[in-house]
Amino acid sequence: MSLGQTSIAYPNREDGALASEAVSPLGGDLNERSSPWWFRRRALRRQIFHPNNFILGLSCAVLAIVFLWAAVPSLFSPDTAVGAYPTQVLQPPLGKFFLGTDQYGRSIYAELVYGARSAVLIGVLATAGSAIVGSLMGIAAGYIGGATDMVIMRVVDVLLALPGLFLALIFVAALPPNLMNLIIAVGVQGIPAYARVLRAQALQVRGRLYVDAATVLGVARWKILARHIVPNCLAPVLVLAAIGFGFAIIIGATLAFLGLGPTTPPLNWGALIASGQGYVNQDWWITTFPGLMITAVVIAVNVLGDWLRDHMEPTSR
Amino acid sequence: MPPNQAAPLAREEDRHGGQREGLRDGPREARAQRDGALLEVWDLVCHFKLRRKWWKGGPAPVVRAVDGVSLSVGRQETYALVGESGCGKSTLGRLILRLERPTSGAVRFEGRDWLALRGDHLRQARREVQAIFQDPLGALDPRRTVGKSVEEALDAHNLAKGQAARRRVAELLESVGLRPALAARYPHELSGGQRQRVTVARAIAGGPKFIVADEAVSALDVSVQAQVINLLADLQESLGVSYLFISHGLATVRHMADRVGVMYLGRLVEEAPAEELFSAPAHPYTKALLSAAPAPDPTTASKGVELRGEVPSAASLPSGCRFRTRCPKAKEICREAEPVLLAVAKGRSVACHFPES
Repeated sequence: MSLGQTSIAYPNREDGALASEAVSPLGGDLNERSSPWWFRRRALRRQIFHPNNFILGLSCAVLAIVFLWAAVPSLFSPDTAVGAYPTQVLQPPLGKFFLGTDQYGRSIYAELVYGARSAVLIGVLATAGSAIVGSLMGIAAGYIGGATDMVIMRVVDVLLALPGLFLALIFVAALPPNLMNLIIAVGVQGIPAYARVLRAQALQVRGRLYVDAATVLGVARWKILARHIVPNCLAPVLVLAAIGFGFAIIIGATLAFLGLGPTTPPLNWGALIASGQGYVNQDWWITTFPGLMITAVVIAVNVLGDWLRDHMEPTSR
Repeated sequence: MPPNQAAPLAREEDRHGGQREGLRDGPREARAQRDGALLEVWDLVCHFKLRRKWWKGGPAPVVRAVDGVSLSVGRQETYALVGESGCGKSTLGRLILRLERPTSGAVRFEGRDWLALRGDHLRQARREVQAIFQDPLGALDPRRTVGKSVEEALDAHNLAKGQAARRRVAELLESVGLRPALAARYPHELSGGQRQRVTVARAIAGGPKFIVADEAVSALDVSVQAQVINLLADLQESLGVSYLFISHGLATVRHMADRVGVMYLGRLVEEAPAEELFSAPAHPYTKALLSAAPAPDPTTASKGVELRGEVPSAASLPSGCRFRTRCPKAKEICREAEPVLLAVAKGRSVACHFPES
């Protein structure tokens, strides 16, 4: 919303002095618009409670909480680790335990807090891995072209031929079950998207006039790649990564749910849902809260990704 | 006498002799002219093959963007190339800049075979031949400050580093009439004229001998055009560079150029010293081009030839003279034989069966 904010664009003068540097004779900034305090407060209130901004803020809050849980779980949970209370099994929510307990007498809330680390690690590391590898492959294919392009894109086609989850399944099944291998599996299935998009981006940037200009100047090929091609290709990576982050968490949870995740702590929300499966008719809270948590995080990440996509402008910095 | 003014047979011999023995053969006055020449283009051809449509038979269509152009540019000379859009003048510029690969022909720069340079040799030699493009916003990386863009030219040839480089950038910006403080700005924060000055500063950073100015002022306001033109003229005076000035703005060409070459569909149709070309055009196309330009005083505007029809596609040229489909003087012979560029007077040549005299 642009209430109460009107900036007048003056054409730049040929001598290089920008009109925005103008100050009024009284010493105030001419570009700052003065309006009564009540007007500004109403504008502020409208901005905060505007549906779009509200959802965006909520998403940021959800993500902030999950990242904090992942970083220092002991601050948010009454126990320093998830302890079992054998006398308190299958307690419903809002009793002695905020979200109830599972069949071993462990607090669901504590499990969610301690499970955040696994979800965040999978999300961050797998996304970072596939973004870096996929982007490098795509840029190399697009910029170098020819046989390199051919080989790289056929490899990507092979990865793309299998559904993401299936691809991750193959890797997890072939590797020993630990968190690192789960991250690798989730990371590999994310590579094709980056490679495809970045190849197209590199092809486009390669044809820009400033690349020709650098060539004419006598700039070495690798310097053109590092200074002009790569920085100008990276805009879509952030948006892709934001969406890929949510997807990585889902796939990680799915694999853990299927029993292909790490068998040792940290806890995983997907494994938690799997363990509550047998109790879902009576004791719904064991499966519901981890599921809601996954949903909330993925929606929050997607909202943030959408916002990023709308607000990434290549020309303005 | 530039290479393209000799009779066709003599030119053919001349060219092969030249390639064999470093351009030392040929008539005496031609040699004198060539020794002074900085850049020579010999029968340069650039064809682009289009993809053949599977439902149409025959060979793949070929666009003859540049189809046998020879010219030479002397030291501290401004050679202007004019012609309608699509006539191949920009492609010729890109060929000289080694941004496009020619199909055949030769380019000599200071007597060296310019097209034979490869890899690092080419990269280093590029310091001598620079470019100013039509769209300065596109020619500057939007993510780098203009100071960094100018500095890149210094860095490419290890001319200055760090503090010294920044000082040199400030000097360069001042020499093109910009405040050094603008070095910290991004291209989108500058006006069109300022941006073009930045690209000029970048082009002269390495001390070039030859600059291809491809429509360098066409995208600018008229008042700013005049400033940039004067800047280019001043730089020619102080640095001694030569320009290949590609333009469709005849007024700027008249002001800037020493010699003018008129291109039509990939070929030179006329070449003459600027004043003579504007006062007495010999080729009907040149005449039409000049009469199409708006005159400062409409009451004295000459009743010129008006061109009918469209430019034929460079992928399917008419037989004989390329211009005959639009030429008011076309006769039977124009359909049968393509006229060659022949000298009609000292320093003037024209490719027409019925040139004006």
